[in-house]
Amino acid sequence: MTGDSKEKQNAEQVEKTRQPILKTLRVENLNDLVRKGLDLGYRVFAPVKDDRLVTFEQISSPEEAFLDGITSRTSPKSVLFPRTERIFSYKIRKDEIVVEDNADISQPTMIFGCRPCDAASFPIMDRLFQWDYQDRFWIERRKGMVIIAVSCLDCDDACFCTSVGLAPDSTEGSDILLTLVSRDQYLAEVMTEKGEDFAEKTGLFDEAGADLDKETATKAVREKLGKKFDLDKIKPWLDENYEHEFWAEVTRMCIGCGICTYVCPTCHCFDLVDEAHYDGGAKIKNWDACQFAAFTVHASGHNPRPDQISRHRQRIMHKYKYYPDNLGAVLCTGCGRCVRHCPMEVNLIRILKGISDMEKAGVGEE
Amino acid sequence: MIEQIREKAKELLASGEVKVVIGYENGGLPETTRPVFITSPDEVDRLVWNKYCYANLATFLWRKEVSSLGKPAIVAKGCDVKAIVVLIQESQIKREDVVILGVTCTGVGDPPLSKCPICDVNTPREYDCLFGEEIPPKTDINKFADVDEFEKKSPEERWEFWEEQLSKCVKCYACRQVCPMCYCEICIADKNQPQWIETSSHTRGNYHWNLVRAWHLAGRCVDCLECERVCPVDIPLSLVNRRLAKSVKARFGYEPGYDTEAPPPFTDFKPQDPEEFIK
Repeated sequence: MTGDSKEKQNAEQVEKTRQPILKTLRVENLNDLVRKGLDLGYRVFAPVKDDRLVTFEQISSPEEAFLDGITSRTSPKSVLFPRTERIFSYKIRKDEIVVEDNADISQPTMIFGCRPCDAASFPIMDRLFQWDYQDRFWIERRKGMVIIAVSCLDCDDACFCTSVGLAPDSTEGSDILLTLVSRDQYLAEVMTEKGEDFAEKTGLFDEAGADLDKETATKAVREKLGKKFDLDKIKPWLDENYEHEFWAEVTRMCIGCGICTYVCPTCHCFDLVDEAHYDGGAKIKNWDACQFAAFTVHASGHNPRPDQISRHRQRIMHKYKYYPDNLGAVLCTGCGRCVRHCPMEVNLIRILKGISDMEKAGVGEE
Repeated sequence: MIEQIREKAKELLASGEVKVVIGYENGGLPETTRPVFITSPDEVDRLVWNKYCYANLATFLWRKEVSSLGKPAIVAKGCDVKAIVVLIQESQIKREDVVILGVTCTGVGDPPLSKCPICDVNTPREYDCLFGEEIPPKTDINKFADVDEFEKKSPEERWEFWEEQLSKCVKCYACRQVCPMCYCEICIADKNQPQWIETSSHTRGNYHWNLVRAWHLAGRCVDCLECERVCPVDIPLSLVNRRLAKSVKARFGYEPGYDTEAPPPFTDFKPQDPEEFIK
């Protein structure tokens, strides 16, 4: 199969959409939904709050879940793509080498209470993990995974989902999307067979009346979000301006930490390392980041991305040019984490707005 | 005060005495600022000074993306100046190669960061020009009260505490990247032939990285607490940094960042240095 047709087929696989089935869930039954998931044998991951820090953790009771924040500090990508994961390990015995497959990848898993921007990250990354190499860790885990997302009714200044073609109530990636439409009721958009199957098993969902409307519920937040830049103007500018003084101007303050990539729901670069001891060892897959100097350094010592300005450009190019070129989607869901948590306020929104303004004004065109 | 800073910046740039002024501009998010590198006298109005000027800009003195611009002037709070002093002590920069625009500071953040109530450098100790009313240094502060408190815990409790805290580490190395003292061209964590520090975020890897980082800062960390401010998973890094600072102070009577002439304890020997570990 050629690269092109394979890509097309995968894109079809991941984009298989259908008309949502509309149901309702009573707010008082939300905890029971999690309990059912646990009873049915799902490992349930949800945002968990510890002091000021909200991260996705495995929970054992619904009370542990924290659904009030705008976004969690780290994204749920770690459920499918842990920051450190053993691919296999081996033991050296006298007469043989015993290899153990350590990845427990087939357990049914539920992501509960993520935001639509996080849910949307999964189909975007499906394209990559099912591209030339079929990543069985991602694919197997994904098969057994149910995503129940909750629409946003609030946002902050770092959020920009509406600027990258999503919305606070986007259904992309969700098996079931819950939107609080009244004080005691969620509208549940059941998007996939997996979602339908799960909803049925719980017995907690009711048929929705035709009067329910999520648009009204999320209107205020959509207006607050507005549009922060013009997405259509980004790629054309990037196509032409790999070299441009703009890059140095907007990224000189970047200190090259991995925060933006590690809190990002769509950054997915990793490094394979061997951790060996005299009688055994393991092959381990660890997160890596294009912002690190060591990311591109050659064995000769030469580094094709010799400074932070070129490394930061790479991150933006990858998200808004290379990934769209290769895999047909923008590698960003507008969750705003990189903007929110950047120690130096590099601010991706500012950079993208700068680009879209320049392109509009025709600056930088030959 | 900002008017005077802008005026001075303009003067320095116009005269050619410096090529870049490293300061703060307003950030895009509310209650934030962003490091800014002003190279033209016409742009000095971008400079701001307020309680959200968190970043320790001293790190930009040795970063090539900024040092390549030419001789800098730098807006620096008392705690940031301490970092500049250590960079001078450690021969990373020469005193005459930087113009320090010292600002007096009553604390950054809202509420102020944990370093601010125990700050004794509200007025920077070293500067070329000072902006703001001089604030006499606080006396009778115990800088190590929280460390003392923590040390009352049993070794098991401390181990449990750190195991939990360090288990959160994602190895983003923001603590290293933001640190003005972490100027090694190749960090030990990036040496991979062989890999000295495991890159994995398992318990061993996380302990390994965080301990090495802390050790390398013993007697050097100026307590600007940028590492703790930026840590995306809220690891209380200052506790471990300052535990080492406490030892250095107790054993060598030395605190880094106060005197450009003072020899750092790890590069110096005094006959009265305690040697009770040699039995």
